[in-house]
Amino acid sequence: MLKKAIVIGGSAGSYKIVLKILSFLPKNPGVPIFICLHRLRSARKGFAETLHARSSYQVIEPEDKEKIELNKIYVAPANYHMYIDSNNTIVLSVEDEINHSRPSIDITFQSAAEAYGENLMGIILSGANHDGAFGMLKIKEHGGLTIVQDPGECEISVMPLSCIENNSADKVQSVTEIIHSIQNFISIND
Amino acid sequence: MQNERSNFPINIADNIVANKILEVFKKEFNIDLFNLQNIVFRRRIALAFNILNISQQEFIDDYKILSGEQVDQLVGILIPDNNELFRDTETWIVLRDKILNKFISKENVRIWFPNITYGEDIYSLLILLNEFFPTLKFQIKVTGPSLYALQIISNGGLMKPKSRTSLANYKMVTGKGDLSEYFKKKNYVICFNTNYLSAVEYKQYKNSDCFEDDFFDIIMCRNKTLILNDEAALEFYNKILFRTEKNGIIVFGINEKVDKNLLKSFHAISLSEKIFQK
Repeated sequence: MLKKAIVIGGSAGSYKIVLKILSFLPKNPGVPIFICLHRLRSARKGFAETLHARSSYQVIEPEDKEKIELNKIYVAPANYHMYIDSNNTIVLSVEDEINHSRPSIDITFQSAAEAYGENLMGIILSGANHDGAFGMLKIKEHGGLTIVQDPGECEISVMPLSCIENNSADKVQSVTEIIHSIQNFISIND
Repeated sequence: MQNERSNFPINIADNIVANKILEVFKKEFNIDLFNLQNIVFRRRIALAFNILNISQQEFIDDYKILSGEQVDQLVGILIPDNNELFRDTETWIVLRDKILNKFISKENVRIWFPNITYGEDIYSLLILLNEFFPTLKFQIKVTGPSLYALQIISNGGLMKPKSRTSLANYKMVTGKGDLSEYFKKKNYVICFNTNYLSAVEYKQYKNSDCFEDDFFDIIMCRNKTLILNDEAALEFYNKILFRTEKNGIIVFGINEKVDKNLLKSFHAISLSEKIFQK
């Protein structure tokens, strides 16, 4: 099983939240972060670059079979599913859409749950479908910590509500609280 | 493959089933799947058994419950492929503007699609050729592991017959908004018009003898190594690069890892679209 990691998923209304979260991350926290946001297939350029500009991390769209490194943020590329493999590698796939989405949050979260087990924090933000709910359940089943953005704060609350409805959310938090949770998670020594 | 139904949550098969499949396929059917990427492979196994309506435990207990046709279908499902027309429109625009025009005067442009399980990339190229290079003489060879998949492709089968994404991609690449001349209804199902498939040959391969003896001007191998581990990907690259004619073109997937050492005898036509020339 791999060491700690954080996976973040979201759709409509989540991009600006991710920007805010990244701007509060400490330097060299010692964990990789995987971000899976629903995005236009044609929007290939500028996505990761904008996130990179707001963070002290290196933000990249990985190639297939890229080795996972600490202190890097990996953003699922447009029109590929992003798996996290337990051999410390990112694996991309062109499989059919899941929940009408590619990249699918379920795929990233489910694979991360297998790879990181209880050493994983999964976060679901604002979004308009239930992609990610199944993945959050897998994270919880593997002993990881699951947090959803407070639906009352979301631009569109369907995504976090789906996780609340399937009992996969350990915590429901505001964005400020999510940032504190991430900081605590990172600061806990192995 | 047309009814993949992967919109439902699916569990990943465990390693016992994955190893059993590898063992059975090698021993009984002489099909070598050992080089597939572990996690994607295990998910595809779970999906395949779901589609074929067979339990994984039944398979472990007695793999002979699979008929020859089901084995062939299983192989096709295990290997996903590009499922929309003109996927990654920038790639097709580079092909349109920088590559295909170089072959106009050639007597016969030889094009190869290796390791195919869906037809969308083939149809996309045929549309592009028809729209912009109608006088270009070409021959297309398609190879793949599943006879079932190749038969569907030869009949114009589409992964998504009414895809808005495909139409939007087509508009971006051709400037046109109507794809209807390229499709027809067959038994109430929308298919690619097989009139455009006359210059296409199909060949199934089994085990690792999966590559043609010919040399090719253009090899369309987008996202073929995603399902392969490092060792198998390297073997694939070596064979593909060897089969490229001098001044020939190879087209990879945009986020596909391409070993830089292997491209010493190639230069990049487009690094961002991963298109290279020998």
